[in-house]
Amino acid sequence: MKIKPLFAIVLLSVLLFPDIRLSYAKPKYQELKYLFTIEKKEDRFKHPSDVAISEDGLAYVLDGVNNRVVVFDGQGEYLYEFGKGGSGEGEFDMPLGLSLDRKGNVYVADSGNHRIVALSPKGDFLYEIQVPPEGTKNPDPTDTVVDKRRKLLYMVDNENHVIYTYNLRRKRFVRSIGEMGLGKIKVDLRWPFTLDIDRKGNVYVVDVINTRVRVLSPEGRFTVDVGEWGVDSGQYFRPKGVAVDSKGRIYVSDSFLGVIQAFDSDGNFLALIGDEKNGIKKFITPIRISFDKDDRLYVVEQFAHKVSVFELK
Amino acid sequence: MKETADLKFKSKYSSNSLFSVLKLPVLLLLFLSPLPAFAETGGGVNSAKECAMCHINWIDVFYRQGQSTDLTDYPKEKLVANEMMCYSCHDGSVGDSRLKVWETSRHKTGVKPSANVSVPEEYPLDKEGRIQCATCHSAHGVNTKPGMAETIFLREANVNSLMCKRCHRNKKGGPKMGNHPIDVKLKKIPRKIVNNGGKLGSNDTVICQTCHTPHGSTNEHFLVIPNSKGSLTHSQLCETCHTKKPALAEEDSKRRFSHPVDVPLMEEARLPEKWDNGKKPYLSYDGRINCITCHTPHNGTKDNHLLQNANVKGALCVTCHTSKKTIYETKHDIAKFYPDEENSDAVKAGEKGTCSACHHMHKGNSFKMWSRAVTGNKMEDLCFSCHDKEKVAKKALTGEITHPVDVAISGNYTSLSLPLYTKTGAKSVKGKVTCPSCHNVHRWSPDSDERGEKDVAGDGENSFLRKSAGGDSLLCRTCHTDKETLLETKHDMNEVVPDAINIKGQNLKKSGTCGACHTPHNAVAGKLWVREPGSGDGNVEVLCTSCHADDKEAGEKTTGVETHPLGVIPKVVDEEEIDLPLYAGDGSLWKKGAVDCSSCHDVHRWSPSNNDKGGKKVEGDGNNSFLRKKIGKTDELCNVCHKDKFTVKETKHDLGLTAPSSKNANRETVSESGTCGACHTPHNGRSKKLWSRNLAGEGDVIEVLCSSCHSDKNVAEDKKTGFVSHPLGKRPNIIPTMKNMLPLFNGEGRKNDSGFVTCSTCHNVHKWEPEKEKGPGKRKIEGDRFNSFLRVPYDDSVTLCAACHKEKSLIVGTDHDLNVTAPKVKNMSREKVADSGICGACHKVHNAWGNKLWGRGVGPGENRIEALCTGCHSPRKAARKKIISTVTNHPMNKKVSDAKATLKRETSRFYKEGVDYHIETKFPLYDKLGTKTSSGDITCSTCHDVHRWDPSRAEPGTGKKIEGNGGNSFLRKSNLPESSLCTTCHTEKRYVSKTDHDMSVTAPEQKNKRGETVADSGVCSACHVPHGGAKSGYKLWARDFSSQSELIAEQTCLGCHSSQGIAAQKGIKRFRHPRDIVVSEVTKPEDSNYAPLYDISGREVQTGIIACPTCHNPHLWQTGSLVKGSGKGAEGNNRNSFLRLKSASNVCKDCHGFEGLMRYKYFHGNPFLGKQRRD
Repeated sequence: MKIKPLFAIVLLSVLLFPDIRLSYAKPKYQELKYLFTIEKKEDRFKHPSDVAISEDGLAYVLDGVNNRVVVFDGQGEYLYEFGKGGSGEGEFDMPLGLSLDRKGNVYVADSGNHRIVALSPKGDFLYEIQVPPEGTKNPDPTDTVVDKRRKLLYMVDNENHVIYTYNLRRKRFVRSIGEMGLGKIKVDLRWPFTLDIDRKGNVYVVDVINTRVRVLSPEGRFTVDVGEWGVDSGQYFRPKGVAVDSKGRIYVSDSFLGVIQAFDSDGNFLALIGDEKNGIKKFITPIRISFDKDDRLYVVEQFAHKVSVFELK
Repeated sequence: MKETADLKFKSKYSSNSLFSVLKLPVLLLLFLSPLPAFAETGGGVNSAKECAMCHINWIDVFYRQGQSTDLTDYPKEKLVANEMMCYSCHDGSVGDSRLKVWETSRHKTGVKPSANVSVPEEYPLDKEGRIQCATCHSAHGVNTKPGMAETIFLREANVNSLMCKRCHRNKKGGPKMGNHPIDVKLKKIPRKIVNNGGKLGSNDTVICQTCHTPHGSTNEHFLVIPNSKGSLTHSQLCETCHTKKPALAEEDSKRRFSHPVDVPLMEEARLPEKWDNGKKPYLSYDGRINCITCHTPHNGTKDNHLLQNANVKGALCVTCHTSKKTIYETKHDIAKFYPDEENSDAVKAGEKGTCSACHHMHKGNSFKMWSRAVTGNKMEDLCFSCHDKEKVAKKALTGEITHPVDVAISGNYTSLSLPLYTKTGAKSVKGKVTCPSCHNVHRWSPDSDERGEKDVAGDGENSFLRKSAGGDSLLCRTCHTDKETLLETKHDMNEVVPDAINIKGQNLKKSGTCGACHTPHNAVAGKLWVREPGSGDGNVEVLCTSCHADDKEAGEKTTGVETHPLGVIPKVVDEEEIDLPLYAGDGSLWKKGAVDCSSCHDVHRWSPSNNDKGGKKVEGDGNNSFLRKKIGKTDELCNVCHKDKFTVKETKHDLGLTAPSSKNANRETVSESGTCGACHTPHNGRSKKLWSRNLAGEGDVIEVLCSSCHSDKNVAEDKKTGFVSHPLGKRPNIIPTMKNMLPLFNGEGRKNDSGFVTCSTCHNVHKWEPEKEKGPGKRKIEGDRFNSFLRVPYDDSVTLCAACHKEKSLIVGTDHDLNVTAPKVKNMSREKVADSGICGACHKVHNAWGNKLWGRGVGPGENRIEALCTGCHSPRKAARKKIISTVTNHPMNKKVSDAKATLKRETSRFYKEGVDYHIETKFPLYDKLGTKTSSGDITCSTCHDVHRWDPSRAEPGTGKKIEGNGGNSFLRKSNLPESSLCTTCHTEKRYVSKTDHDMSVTAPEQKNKRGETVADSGVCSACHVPHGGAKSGYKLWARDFSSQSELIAEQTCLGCHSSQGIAAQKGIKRFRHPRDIVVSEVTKPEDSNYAPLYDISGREVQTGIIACPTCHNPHLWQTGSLVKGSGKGAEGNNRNSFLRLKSASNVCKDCHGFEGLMRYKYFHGNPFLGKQRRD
């Protein structure tokens, strides 16, 4: 009968303190330190959707609603910008993603124009790549990533749920993968949105509605899925951004919950970005994240029209 | 349900020991654990991912456990349709609505619906009753295929904007309810709307979403195309469909057919704080009007064009066009006075109001959005849509003669106080005058608030004029600024005739100063004349004579009978333009037109050179008098047309030089009248040629003008023509080549080819020298034959004289040309022929010495002609070698009527005897004074034409002295070879020709006393010579006289018929009729058988001695037969032999009777002859 009081206490605790977890383990946090914010006070960003950091530390912020790319230095000071609305050279129509190659050339996923636009670091038009119209909807490129070693360009077609691989040297598509699906099939994707790549050439695809991050091998096969549906650690509600740091850790942002989580290269949950004192760090619609060569974390807080830069510990 | 299940569970397992231990806490746990708001959804909670993707609250940890997680706190509110939930997909990751929803206008959320909106229950609001995304959006509203991709996130199918209508019920109903029509089919789909996100309903109908979009609009009112945003001045959305209203295709079209938009609000506009519909009046950027200033697609006037305010009686119009209110109750208030008048849309004025009677906001027929039927495309045609026959304003027509419209104003205008209009009806300083230039059709009186009466005629102080034309005619002077100079002059009626009434019965106050003479409409004559026209030929003249006529206002200022001609075209216009106005036949200005009063006069300006106004009592002169240019001093005015007359300057006829103090008949010195005015005056001339000097002397119409000065006690009294001067008033026969150079004149003083000679025929009084334009100036020089105002120089070709006296020009080069025969001899004016000219050597045009305009001395003579000839042909005179003796010459100064009977008989053919005897020959007879008369005397010029050397050749002379003969010698007729000259009168003497007494037959080589053979002298002059014959002059004998007889009558015969004579073979040696027998007249001179008796001196006497010619007629061979000889020497008989009578029957017998015959035989028979021979 000793068990009864204990049970009662537990029962009462559960009743009175619903927050007490039955299976409770304290989350692990990866602390960060705020460094600076990249934004434009006048002529502000309008729901920026991506940021890429060049080898020399310049931050290229994609201000797609304004149809431009705005470049800042390593301290967040404005340098220049390029691009305007339209469908001509150097023009965009609601672009959603961009990436840089080793030379600093910029590859913009020009969604409204159904193409990838290659520009010089200064924004001079180089060429364009028409995304193949192989789906049932108009091509809708939302992100690109460059395999600098293999000279490959990966692009994601959001509306058609496809990932294309493009050989930059040979200027042709080499393969594609993906089809609309709930995730039961290996190649299923449902509104893939953003990309990142690690040093090994694995491409990380945020499969938004399937609430996972899929890893695409250099050979073009999905290997690992990182994360799963849910609202708890290691889970996603609205995964949007993915970034791999220099150590191969995978970071994924959740734009609705406003959090960033870290995973190991095998896809195991590592930590929440935040600290024990304050808990998980809440961002405002963190749609994209990127690391510079110093592993400083750039977070595109879309609804706040800014990019916040942190140092992770 | 849970409770029932629990009870069942309890009953079944109540004996289980473990359960009995756990049952209470379990039950409590289950019972008291926080349950989800199950009742919120009414059921259907599903934590499945596909549901929980949006229904995050349904996730088990939240819904069942009610717990927060490491990532997020427990959601206390429903987040399913939370904005950020939507954003989590519509951020570009699933759909990209960043721009459309979050950076543009979108349907309001987070606010409570207004009173105008009625949200149905099935469109849920949030807890606070505010609109939220979920009000309209739901994944469960429209049946679709399963799956996110197929889901339509709306509460219900929004066909034809159904969802909009569910709430915005007051926006339905169309124009009848004051809303833009919806659910109506468009004729043409404007692509622009679709391209900008507008949607069309089924069957291409207009729906709410055609114009509005709940998301994605960057424009006001969620419009797909803006109407009133930012710097827009146009209602672009309206214009997308309503392109014709207004017509904006062209800039000017805005003002043509439709109310303009994109124009600043008028200064006079008085917009209310709010319209009746509660809306604030809208003006676009920079305060400009556009569609929605007057219209509103919602909450507009019902069934009345969706106006912001009802336009009752033009109330909306006059909100801005406040100044147009003055139209009410004027004659142009058609709605009031002509309510049944319809516009071109058949809308009655009384129904739609004053403004709409004439204007249609968007479907105008012409400029100014005209709503009445028009027949032309000019501004004035708008007025004519009423002011025309059979139209509503048929009593107010402009008339045939009316102020011009559609004309430009001369001069540069940078601003206008009266508007000019372009051809598209826009006001412009470069536009033209048209009706609204003067008329403000919306305002009756410019200076008061009077509205006029419907049937009262207007005047210059009202009549919808923009400015008053009454009083000092401010309206007129706005444009006609150059006419302002009329004020205070004599043509200002206010000054001279203040109670003047024009033909319309208006006094000056009503008509205005200008209106005293002019009226813009319904004028009665040219120049918009409004006075009773006078008389005259010119279109302008009749206007002037309205007043400048007897018994009229300016009756003391008439032009007189002799006045400058009007209606004539100045010759100078053939070569150049003149800067005085000339007029066409209809009174319009025309550069090649004719002169009229206004050519010289600017009736609106007193002085051409300054602002002098003159005055009522100031008499004008050549420096003012409303002249366009001065006459005085500079003669500018005359010089414009009469340039050719300006050569008078610096000549002796320039009285400014020669007689500066002389005055004309108007008492004006030359400095006052001007050079021209010294002699001419444009009006009230004393005589023809607009003469302004007092007349003097007598003569023809021109001559008396010249005599004004060239007469005693006048300016040129030292230059008179003298008592004897070239005849004037005669009609010469001018050679054709000279007709243009020497004009003749008629009785009116005008040039006329059928006119007569007068001073101006030879003289151009305006030009000193024919070949030079300039006069000699002040130099005192005497004129000569090369100047002296002659039209043609009197040169050595006698061009001037020969123009009329052509036949006289044959004198040139003859012996009568003193250049040839006597170059040093002077005439009575002490002129050598080189000075005087050939004609002038003998004749003086002026101041001659007697008739024939003689300019030389005269000699002896009983006849004037003879005296002229002997002026040279006498001893110690120029022709002393050609002296004419009265003794040895052909009888002169004798009348034929006084000739002896035999001569009379000879001239009986052409001699008319009687009281008015005369003789008709080619040879003139002269009276004593040298005047030709058929009853005159024979004199030198009877036989001689002193100007023509050779009668058979009409040529001038050779220029060398020539000794003449019977064939020339200035004879009128040649005596060679026939003595035609002599036998003209001595008709029976011609029958000597070809007889034995014709020396060309019997003695051609014999010479007469002048040394001439018959070939030189002619038949008659072989024996008789008109000049230089025998000293005694008997028979003008040119041969020897015989001494064998004491009878001179026989001496002439015996001069040839003697042994020493040339007719020796026909000499008479012995016969001699007894001398001591005196016979009385047996026959009479008029008898055909007349046998003359002679005295000893050879005169034919009644009782005398028988001599040769008693029996013989030496000129007639054949007795009793007037025939010429045969031309061969012939032996005669008693039937010829120059016998007067046939000897066989008459000779002797007539005297001696029958016995005489016996005596004849005795003396002429053989016995006698034989005895004689024996003796």
